[in-house]
Amino acid sequence: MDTLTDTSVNRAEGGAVSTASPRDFFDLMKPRVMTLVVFTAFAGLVAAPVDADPFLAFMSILCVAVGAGAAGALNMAYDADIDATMKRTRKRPVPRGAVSVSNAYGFGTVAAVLSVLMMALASNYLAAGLLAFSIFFYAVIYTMILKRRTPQNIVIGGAAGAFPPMIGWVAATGSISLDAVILFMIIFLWTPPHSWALALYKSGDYAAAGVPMMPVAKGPKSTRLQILAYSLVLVVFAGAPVLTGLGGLAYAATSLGGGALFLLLAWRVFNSRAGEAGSAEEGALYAVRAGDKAARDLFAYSIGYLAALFAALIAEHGFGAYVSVPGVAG
Amino acid sequence: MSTENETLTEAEREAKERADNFGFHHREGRPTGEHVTLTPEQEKARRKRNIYIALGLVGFMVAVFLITVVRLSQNIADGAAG
Repeated sequence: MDTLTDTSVNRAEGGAVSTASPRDFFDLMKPRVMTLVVFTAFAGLVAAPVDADPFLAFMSILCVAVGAGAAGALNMAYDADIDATMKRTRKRPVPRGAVSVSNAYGFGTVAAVLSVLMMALASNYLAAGLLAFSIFFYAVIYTMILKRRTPQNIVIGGAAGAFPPMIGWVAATGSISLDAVILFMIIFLWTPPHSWALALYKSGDYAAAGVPMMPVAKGPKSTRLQILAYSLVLVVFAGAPVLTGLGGLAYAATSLGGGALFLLLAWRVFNSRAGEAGSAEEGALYAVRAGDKAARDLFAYSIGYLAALFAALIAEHGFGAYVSVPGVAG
Repeated sequence: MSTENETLTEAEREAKERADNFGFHHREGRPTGEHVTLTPEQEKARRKRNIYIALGLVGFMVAVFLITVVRLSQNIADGAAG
């Protein structure tokens, strides 16, 4: 009874009523991640060998964006405890107290359901199913199961972020083809070196939160080696679209030049002492100690590299810049 | 407890009930949620959220309508062509 009275008094003073703004809910959707998701989904849709209706294509991309945002909101709801301990994430809406955990779950669930239903209506059931599976994979498989248990979290969980171009492709064509799988694989292979480069110079943050990212679980030296190995596999695999004719000359040049620079930066990380000094004191995403600069550079460049690969596909298939590579059927 | 209430006048009883009930009398029949007094900041935030929810709902309805129209048109065109 006392508890009830206390709660009532609290409610009477407005203590349990939220002051969250729409901006807080927008931040729950991880807008920065959403940008790359939308871009790669758009590339998949444009690169597909079918002319989709512009309005339905736009709605499909919007669904991917909202679905990705929903997965981000569910991730933030579940990870509120560890986000509060990490400098990089402590200002997110849930640990900051702007949005309650239950509201974040509610918002994420509603957004997820609506995005999948709209996708089914705007494109096809296969694309909607893939979108639903990618949200489930990120929110449940990665966030709730893998993230706190294994240093392979980002390797397996990276599949969630690799789905958007495939969803875009399937939204246009209604089926999964080899090219769609190749686009998926490029992001899948890109995720480990990208995430581990960040983890190297934010390892203290992850260690404090008890998240077994590779530098925390296996040490920085092993992580640097694995970054180099994954980078090599990624750069070689990124040439696959040229072999199938999906990528033309512009893509081939981007893949070759961008890949060479990617390898150079990965090599610099391998030869650096990145991750040895612990975490940067500052909370900013790109703030580093002197020894971690190579990791920071690779992290920043990796985003540009992936964007450039998919931009090349958009230019070739969406703006008529496709010129087939000599000796390859286009 | 009941003895104490019996000794109070009608006005005193009402004043006591209001004091125990966040300023409301039981005959006013307000639901529990109405007893919350929002701060200006909370009220402003709620109004803003409500506007965005309304815009979202309208946007959702318009999107469903337009998608339906486009898909129907496509199906009719496909039927005519086939």
